[in-house]
Amino acid sequence: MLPFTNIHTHVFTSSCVPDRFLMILPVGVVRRFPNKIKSVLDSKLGRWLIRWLADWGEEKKNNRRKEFDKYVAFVDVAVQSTQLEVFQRAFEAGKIYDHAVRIVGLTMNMDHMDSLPSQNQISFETQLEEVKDIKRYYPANFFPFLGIDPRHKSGVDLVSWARPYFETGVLHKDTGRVFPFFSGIKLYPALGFFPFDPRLEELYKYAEKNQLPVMTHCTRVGTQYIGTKIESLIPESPAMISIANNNNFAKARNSINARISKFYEKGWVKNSDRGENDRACDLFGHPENYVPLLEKFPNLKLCLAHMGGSNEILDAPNKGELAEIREVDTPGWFERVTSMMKEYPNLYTDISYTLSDFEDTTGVVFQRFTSFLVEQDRNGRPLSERVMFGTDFFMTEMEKREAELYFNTQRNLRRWFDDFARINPQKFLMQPV
Amino acid sequence: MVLPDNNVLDIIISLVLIYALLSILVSILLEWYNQKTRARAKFLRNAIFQLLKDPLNVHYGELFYNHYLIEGLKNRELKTVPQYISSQLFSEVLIDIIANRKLHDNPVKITGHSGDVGKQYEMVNDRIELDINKHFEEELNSLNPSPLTDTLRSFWQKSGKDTTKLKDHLKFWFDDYMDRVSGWYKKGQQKKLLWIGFLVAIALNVDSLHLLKILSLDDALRNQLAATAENVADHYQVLSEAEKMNNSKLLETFSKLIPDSVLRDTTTGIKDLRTIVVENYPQLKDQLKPNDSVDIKYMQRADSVLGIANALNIPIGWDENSAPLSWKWCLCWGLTPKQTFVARGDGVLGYNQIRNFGSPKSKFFYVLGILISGISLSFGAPFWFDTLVKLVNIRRAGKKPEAVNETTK
Repeated sequence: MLPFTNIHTHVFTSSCVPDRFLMILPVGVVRRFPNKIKSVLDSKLGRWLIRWLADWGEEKKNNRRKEFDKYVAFVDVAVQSTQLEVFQRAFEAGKIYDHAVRIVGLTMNMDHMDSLPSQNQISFETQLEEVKDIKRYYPANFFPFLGIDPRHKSGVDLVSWARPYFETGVLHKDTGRVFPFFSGIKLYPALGFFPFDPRLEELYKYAEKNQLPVMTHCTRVGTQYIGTKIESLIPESPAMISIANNNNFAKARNSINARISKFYEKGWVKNSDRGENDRACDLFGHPENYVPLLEKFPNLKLCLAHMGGSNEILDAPNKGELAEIREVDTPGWFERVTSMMKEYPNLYTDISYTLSDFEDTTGVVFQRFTSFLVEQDRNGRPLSERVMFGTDFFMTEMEKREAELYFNTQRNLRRWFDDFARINPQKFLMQPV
Repeated sequence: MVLPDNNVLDIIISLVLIYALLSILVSILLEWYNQKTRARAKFLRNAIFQLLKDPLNVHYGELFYNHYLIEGLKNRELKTVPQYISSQLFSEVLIDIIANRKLHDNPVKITGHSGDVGKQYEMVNDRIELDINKHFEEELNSLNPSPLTDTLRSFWQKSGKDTTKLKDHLKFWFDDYMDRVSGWYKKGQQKKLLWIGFLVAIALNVDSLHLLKILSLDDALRNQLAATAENVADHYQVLSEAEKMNNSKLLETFSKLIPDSVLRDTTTGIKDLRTIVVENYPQLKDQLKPNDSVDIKYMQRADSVLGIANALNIPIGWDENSAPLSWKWCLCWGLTPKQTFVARGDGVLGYNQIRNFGSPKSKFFYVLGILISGISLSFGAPFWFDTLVKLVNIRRAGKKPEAVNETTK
C-alpha cells in the first residue's frame, strides 16, 4: 500500500516572513500598523490578550472579534521557534492515518514580497537550510518543495542555484532508500511574478527532464505582494515564454494581455503605500497564465492547488467584489481549472484549504466538487485521478484544526480518499516508496 | 557640640542612605522585569544574530540558535532562549554549522524510474568521510565573500587550518564581542533604571526636597540615619566585588542592623503558596513539589526594602495627611499657608503644615523633588553605596580624635 500523503503543507515560521507580512490581511488597521501588530502577535501576552477578547466577543452574536481567535490559532503555529517544530505538528496529525505518512512542505521565497527591507526576516537560503535539516531527520516523511522566484535568480543561474537542492540528499537508514533533499518546485506567483516569466524557462526545462513536479498556488486570495511598486511588476504586455505557431498559446497570450489592460482601466493595478494589491495580485496567479507552460512543457507535472478556491467553486456572485471581478474576468477559476485539466493530462489539482468547506455535504461547494470528480478528460479518464489530498497546514488553522480536516475528508470523500491521499500523490511526486 | 558642617554632612549622608536603600528596590524591580521579559536572553540573541548576520550567504545566527547544543539550553516549556552562552560553546557550534553543511550535502543521482515505486536514487559517494577540518575548509571556500566569511577565512589561515586552534581564535573573538555587548546592555539598562526610578519615586512618594528639609529639621531622625549609614558602609566595604553587585547582599547590609522582630512587624511577610500550605499542614511537606518561586523571591525582597524603610522611619509613602493627598483636604479648610504656619509654630510640624497645604510653590517643589528622586534612584545601588562609603569616611576623618578613640576602645 502506498503511503498516506498530505501534498500541501507549510512549515515556515514568523522569522521567514517580512516584517510587514500582516499587510496581506485586508483589514485597514492591520495595513496601517503591520509591524506593531506583528510584534504584539509575536508575544505570548499579546496573543493571550487577543484570545481573551475573542472569548469575550464570542458571547455576543455577530461579533467579529471572535474571528481574531482564528488568526491567533494561525499565528500560534507561525511563532513556533523552529520550522522543525511546525513540521512535527503536521506530522503528528498525519501519523494517526499512517505511520509512514508523507508530508509535503512547500517553501516560499518571501524575500521579494515587500519593496521595503525587513529587519527581522531571515534570508530564503537560511529557511532552506532549516528545511534540509528536517529532511535529514525525517527522510521518508518530509518532502519539501523548493520555492522559486525569478527576481531571486533567473535562467541558467536559477538552475545552477537550484540543482544542488535536487541533486544532494540523504540515506534513510531503515529502508536503505535514498531521497533527494527537495522533491519538487513551488511557485507562489501572487508574491509578485508571472509563472510564464521567460526567466523561469530554463528551470521548467530542467524540471520536465528530471520529472520534478511543480506545485502552484491557485486562489484569488492568500499571501500576496505587499510592496509599493505593483505597477512595475505588471507591464501591459509582460514578457512570456514563447512558442511559435501554437494557437492555444496565442489565444492565452491575447487573453492575458487583455485582462491586464482591463485591470488597469478599472484602476485595480495601482501603486499603493498600504500594499492594497489584492486584485492586482490575482493577475499573477490566474490559471490561464499556466497555458504557455503546459503548451511548451507537455510532460511537466503541474498542480494548480486549491482548485481556484471555494469562492470560485461557489461561483454565484450577484453582487460584491467577486461579481465586479467577474465582469472583466470570466469564466471563474474553478471552471478554468476544470477545462484545463480536461485538456492537459499532466495537470493536477489538490483540495487543500478548499476542503475546509467540504463539511456540509449538501452544500454547493461539495456538490460541485463531486460532480467535477466524475468528469472526464480528453482521454476518457476521470478527473478524480489527478486530484490530491492536502490540508494547507497551517494556513487552515484559521478555519479548522488539522485533525478535524483529516477526519471530515475521510468521512465525506470515503470513495476517493485513498486515491487522493495515496495513489495520485505518488503519480505526482514520483518519490521512492 | 555638633559643628554646622558636620550637620550638613549628616544630612547628605542620611539622604544618600535613603537613596542607597531605595536604589536596591529599583534594582530588584529591574531584575524582576528583565527576568519576566527575558530581556537578557533576547539581547544576547540579537547580539549573536548581528554578529553572524551574513546576507550574502545565510543567517548563521538563526542556524546557530537551531543547533542542538543551543536548543538544549532553551527552556522548552517557556520557549526561552539561553541567557548565557560560553565562548567554548560558541566556537564549537559555529564550526559545526559551517562544516556540517558540507558534510550533509551528499550528491545523489537518479538510477531509474519505475511506476508506482517512483524515481530511484543512489548516493554518488558510497562512504561519507568524517573529516571536520576538510568539510569546514570546503564549505568556507564555497561561501560567497562577505565580511563574516572574510573574518572566518582569516582565522582559518591564522590557525594553520586546524579547527582546534581555530576555536581559540573564535573564543577570543566572541569574548571580545561579548565585552562590548555587556556595555551595550548596561547602557540599555540605564534607560530602564530611569523609568523604574521614576516609578518608585512616584509609587513611594519620594520627594527629595522634602527629605532634605525633614533631615535638616529632625535631629533625631538624622542622627539615627547617620549612625545606620556608618554601619551600612562598614558592612558594604567588606563585601567582595561580585557581592557588591548582588541585590540580596546589599539588602543584607541593612537588614543585619534591624532586629528580626522589628522587620517582622514592618514587612507584610509575603509567602508562596507552598510555604503557606507547609506551615498549616506540615504533614504535606513531602508530598509537595518545590515550585517556581522566582516571583515570590522578588516580591519578598521588595517587601524587605519597604520594611527596612519603615523601620528606619524614612518619611516616604502616601498618606492623606501629607502632601500631595493632603492638598485636597487643606483646600476644604479654607486656610492660607501663612495662617496655618502661624497657628502651628516652627519646626517639622510647621514645615509640614505649609507643605501639606498645597500652595503653588509647594506644588512646584514637590514635582521638582519627585524628579530629583527619580533621576537619583536611576543611578543604581552600587553608585549610592560607593558614595555613602566615601561620605562616611569624610565624616570619620572630620571627627575629633577623642571620639575615634572612644569608639575604638
